[in-house]
Amino acid sequence: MGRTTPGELALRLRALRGTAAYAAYLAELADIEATLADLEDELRAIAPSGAVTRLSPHSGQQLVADLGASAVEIVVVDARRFSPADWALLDRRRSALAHRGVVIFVTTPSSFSELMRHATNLASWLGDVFAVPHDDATVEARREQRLTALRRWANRSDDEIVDAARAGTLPADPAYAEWLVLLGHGELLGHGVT
Amino acid sequence: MSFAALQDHALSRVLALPPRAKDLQRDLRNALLQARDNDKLATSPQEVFQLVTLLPELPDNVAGQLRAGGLHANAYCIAGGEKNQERDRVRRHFKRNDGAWFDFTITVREHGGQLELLAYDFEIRFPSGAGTPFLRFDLNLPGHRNQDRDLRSHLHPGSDDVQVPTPLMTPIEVLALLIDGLRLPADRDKPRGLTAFEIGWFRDTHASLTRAEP
Amino acid sequence: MRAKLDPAGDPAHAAPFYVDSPGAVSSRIAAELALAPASRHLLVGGVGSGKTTELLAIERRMSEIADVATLYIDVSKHHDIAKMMPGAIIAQVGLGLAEQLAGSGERSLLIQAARDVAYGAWELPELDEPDDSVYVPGILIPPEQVVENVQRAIEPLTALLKKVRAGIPHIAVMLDGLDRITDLQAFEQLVDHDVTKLSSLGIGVVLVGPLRALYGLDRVLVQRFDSFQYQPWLDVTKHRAGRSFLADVLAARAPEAFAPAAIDPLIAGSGGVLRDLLVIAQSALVEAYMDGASQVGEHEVDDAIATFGRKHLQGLRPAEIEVLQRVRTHGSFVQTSEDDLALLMTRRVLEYRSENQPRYAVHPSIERLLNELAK
Repeated sequence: MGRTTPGELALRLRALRGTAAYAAYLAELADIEATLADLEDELRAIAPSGAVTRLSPHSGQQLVADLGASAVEIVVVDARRFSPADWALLDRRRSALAHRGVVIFVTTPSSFSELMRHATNLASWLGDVFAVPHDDATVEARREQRLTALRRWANRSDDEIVDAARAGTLPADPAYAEWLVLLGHGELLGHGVT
Repeated sequence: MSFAALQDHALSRVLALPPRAKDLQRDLRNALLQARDNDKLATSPQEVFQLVTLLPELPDNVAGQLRAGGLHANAYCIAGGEKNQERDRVRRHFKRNDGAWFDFTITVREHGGQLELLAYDFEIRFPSGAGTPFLRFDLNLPGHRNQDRDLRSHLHPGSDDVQVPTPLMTPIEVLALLIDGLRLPADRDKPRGLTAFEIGWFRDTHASLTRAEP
Repeated sequence: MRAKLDPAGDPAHAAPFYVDSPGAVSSRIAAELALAPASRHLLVGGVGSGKTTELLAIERRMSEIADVATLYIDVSKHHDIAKMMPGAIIAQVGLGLAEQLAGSGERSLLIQAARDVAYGAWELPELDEPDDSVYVPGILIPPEQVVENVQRAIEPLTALLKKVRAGIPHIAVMLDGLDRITDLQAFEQLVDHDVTKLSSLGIGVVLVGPLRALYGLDRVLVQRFDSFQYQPWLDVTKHRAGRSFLADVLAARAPEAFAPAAIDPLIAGSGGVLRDLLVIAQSALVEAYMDGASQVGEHEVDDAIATFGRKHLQGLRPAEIEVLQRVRTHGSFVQTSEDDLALLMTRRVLEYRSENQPRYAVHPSIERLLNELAK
């Protein structure tokens, strides 16, 4: 399954405003709550005020009722608890799910597999389906790129920078602040502006 | 003469910052996306996401352990574009619709539900004929040597050696300057003509650079 | 632009962009209803093949005939089709007629009677009975006796028909939503009781039914109708008419959004499934936005098809993947089990018909992924 960050998914979903769109975002059960919070934050940051809501129905039946009562444009559905029977009911009641706006089902990969088996009509409506990224390889690669660039620019080693910071002789340039953080020595930075 | 009073004034603002580094990253990113939607930025939305990165002090798995032990691990860098001290166009950066290009780095710390702004540098480079090759807004680290000369919040006007005091700004404000400001006025379609002094200056500078080349 | 592609949107809103599909079933059914107003027609087709769109197209065609009134009803909208009992469709038709009359300002007791039968009502007891109101459940909540309920549903409908026919002699109903019913026996009951009764009242019926009605013993259901229409997938690789139709749909809905070079890969990637074309096209538009492109190009279409394919492979078991590999490499598919039928229902396997001969292929969006799995 393709992976994307909550922020990027939020932007994709915002691009679908004005349509009737259905999407799914997958995360492991332990990460669902954080994923829901992140996605909601991202959507609220780029959508007009009042355009985003979260539904946490305990069943498919409840979702039909809740969605019918909601006129909010972007609806994030906590679907982690949905069983095969819930998905099957949503498939039968698909017409009642019709919503002028964007609906995103946030659920686990195994629950999504059940959706694909038991809710084939609903599945045919789904456009974007992505999973949460789960490794930090990109961040670490970027950290290393920046450290390499800093070492080349200053013609100094990481140890020399840390020693200078401890001795109070490190220049005040912002590049050195970054260098210390990338090395995990934020404690040598002093105090900033709030 | 001491510039301490000037510096105190420049740094006296109380900044409105979001509570977390992640929030600031998101705000910066959304400002860039807004600029893209308004055709002020040529960088694609996809690339905006790729270029605005949050780099924690330590990898999450290590940081978690330190924080659980009450130890500091809450400084972050927010990078906008690749690190580019050489001003090499090959390094990934943001592109304005008028050919100017820029990148930035911000260092912050989360502490007590607040965000501390520790340092930043925002540098924009201009097409030829724009009056200056680059401008860089720096906020230095606090409390170090040579405070009298080294103004903590300053601007480099096309020279790494010359500094001009600037007021303290939030990263969002500096970014807005880079995106919306620092452009030709709306009522002018080309830069002002150069004076004889400027023409002479550029020629002499070019000549000295040419002599200095091996 | 993205709204016009709207694969999950209300098909009624897409009416301005309607394009006649090759051998459009709507024209055939409308023609038969015009000749035999009380005839019964079964329409089946895979998920996303455009059945609802065709029902609405039949309505539009019939609206050009002066003495026919039509009614479109999605029987699944306000009722769980897994709980549908005989009489439920009749009750919904009665309700539909009642709402139409109410909408034109009519204030008849018949309208309330239709609503009471559908949703239930409190009845006052006879005078010499104890002074307690008796709640009579509506048809749409499962009752016990089939015949009694059918009769209860018929009564207000018959009276409403008399009222409507004072102005318009013929009525045809388009019944949508039963393609999702999984219990074929329940479907048979609805056909035997409700559809037969509607027809006996002189009402024309076009019923969307489950695709499985096509296969095996379930085919006997087909014989209860005057005509059976199958809305097939379009074989865009073998027949130019199918490809042209889908290109026309894109042109009607999003004329300048797609670069010419992107059209053919998009159509090929859809497998001739109209809804999948719209889903992939909409996704490609989002990709173009993310890439900062002014038009959808081949690159964005590729990305959209890949995203669609990854979704389309989810939930499959190893045995099903094996079946798909056989279809991919040999084109052979023999439906021997419910799981095999499910692969057809879920559009992992596409069946194309040419002169009544079937041709099987895997959905193009999963072809590359299946190939990689096989290595």
